[in-house]
Amino acid sequence: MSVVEAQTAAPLLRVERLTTRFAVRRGGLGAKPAVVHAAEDVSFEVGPGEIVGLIGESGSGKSTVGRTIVRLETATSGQVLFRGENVLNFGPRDLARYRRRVQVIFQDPAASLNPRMRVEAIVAEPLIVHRIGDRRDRRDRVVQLLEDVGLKADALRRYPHEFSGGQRQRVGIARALAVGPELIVADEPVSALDVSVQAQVINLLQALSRRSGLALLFISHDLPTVEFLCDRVVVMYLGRVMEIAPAADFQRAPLHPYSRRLVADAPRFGGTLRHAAEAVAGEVPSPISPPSGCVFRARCADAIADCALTVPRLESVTQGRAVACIRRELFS
Amino acid sequence: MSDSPPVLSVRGLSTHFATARGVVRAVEDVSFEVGAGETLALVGESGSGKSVTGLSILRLLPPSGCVVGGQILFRGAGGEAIDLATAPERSLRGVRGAGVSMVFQEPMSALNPAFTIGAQIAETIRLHQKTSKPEALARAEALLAKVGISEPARRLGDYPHQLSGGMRQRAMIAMAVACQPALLIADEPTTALDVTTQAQVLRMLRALQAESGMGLLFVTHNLALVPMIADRVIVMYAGEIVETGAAGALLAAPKHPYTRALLECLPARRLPRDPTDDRPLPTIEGSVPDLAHRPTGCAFADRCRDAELDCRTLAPTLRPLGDDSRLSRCHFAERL
Repeated sequence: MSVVEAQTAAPLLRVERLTTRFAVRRGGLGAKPAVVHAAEDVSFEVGPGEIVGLIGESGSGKSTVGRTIVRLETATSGQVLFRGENVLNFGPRDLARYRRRVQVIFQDPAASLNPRMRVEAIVAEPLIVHRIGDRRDRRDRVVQLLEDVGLKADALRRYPHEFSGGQRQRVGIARALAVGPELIVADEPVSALDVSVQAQVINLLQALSRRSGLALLFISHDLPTVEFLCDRVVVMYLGRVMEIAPAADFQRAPLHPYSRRLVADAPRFGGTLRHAAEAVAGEVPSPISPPSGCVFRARCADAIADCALTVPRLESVTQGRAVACIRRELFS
Repeated sequence: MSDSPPVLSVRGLSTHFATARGVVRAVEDVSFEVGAGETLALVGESGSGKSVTGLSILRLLPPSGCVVGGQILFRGAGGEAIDLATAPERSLRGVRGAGVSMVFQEPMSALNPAFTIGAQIAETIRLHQKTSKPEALARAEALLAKVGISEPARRLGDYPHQLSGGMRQRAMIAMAVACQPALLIADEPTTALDVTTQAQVLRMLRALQAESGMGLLFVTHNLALVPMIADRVIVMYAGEIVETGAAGALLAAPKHPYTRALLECLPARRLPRDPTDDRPLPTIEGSVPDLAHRPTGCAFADRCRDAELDCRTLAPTLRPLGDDSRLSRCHFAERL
């Protein structure tokens, strides 16, 4: 049995040893291009109707994983299986079919909505692209979708700039829902919003998931939001998965040294600033030349010499829980 | 606060903007004090006026904005108070970066990309103090070490783009505290940083403050940071202070419906999650009123679940609530 499996028997999405690297040019002309190890050997699953949180700091590769899943980036190796089929091998026709079933929403709705299109056209566009319904059906469907995300029908005739940030994100969600997807990849969907508006969008995503069995891959750097919204969490650091756990277990006791530091440093009520000795030291190393062995070892207070030798495998510790740390017995 | 007079004392500050829609009253009648060694958090959502308040203190407003009323009394090392609201531009220049410094969310917009970090910090020092170039550079190196930048001697020669986001913000803070200001205004200094870096920077700010005794005005949208950094807190809404008090007491028992609502909608307040509790997060319906056409009554009334008829007609004043240092702008604060 795999250690990264979803809580349900047949996963909707199964990411297997996914690696995505980018070539970047450094230095002057003729300099050898460097390789960014954005995502390395990433494996996890999302079950039908499940909300999985993909959490990490900048440079962790969480967005790259999300973008590779929806084929906005090209994988270097590994597999992305959607209902058993490898998405990475899809040709144009399969890809079009796939995109009816998996949709994406982005952090900045202002940048992902065409400013010259009215909301009606924005939300109807995926229906036209995928040839769903005739003109009249589409109009009814758009009104229904806007209602589902809490927008009134008068929004139809308006342009994106006439809306607040939270309303624009609702338009983005309505557009993603238009084709009736089974999975939405949401990349930091609330990070750019005011606190009071974040709560509205979180509630909406949760209600949609409960109501229609929609699965969500919720990519975020905000630990409290992930813990509140998600069923399971996948923790990434410098391109690799450090820990996978049910959200409830993770809150009670994060296991990986990086997870524990992340939890300790997240602003929390009743908490105060921890002493310097307890904090994560140093900066995230460059993904162009990640450290050998465990990528977290340079900042880990519990690192030993062996941590530099091999990349720790993601190993099961308890039911549904896996940690990539050679010293995991110390923490479980 | 200690017995010594406050470093900054803002009284009745109003800042307006001239726009095509009319006069936007971004900040209305705001008063507060920051003591030496004290941290005051200025909290609010977008459009609350928190950043404009910070910018008003150093009169760094865009051309359409203007301080139209109030006093901004700053008392520097000399002990003489100067009113920054009316002081001529010439004397303001002597205060900016020396007596009062400011750091912003995005250090890249405040650092010059064409000069090294060392040159920029040294320039700040030499602008305000008579120092030789080598001496200023030596001090810049010491400052980089103090803000937690490793290999400071080497980093002096780095350009801003060669630093990570966290290091850039540290360099920005080093430059801001180079002339030992009596007051540091930090506008969302950690918002663009990762949580582990954020914790490091907050800790470093506290250490700097403990050493120098500077006052800190910490502007943020994130209430969760308040207990980590602040002694006192001001909550702003629609350009006005709606509540102020000691940080711990205010977060534990808010006395304004807006503060209460803002706290309730944070997911962190519902953790650890109770699996049997599937209630949605409380939200604040509606939106901030148009500041070009302020409502006659309480600015929050339309979004307040406890609003009564009086709230829409009678504007509440910011009033003390008997105990401690708490002030609330709500007719019904005692009910909360």
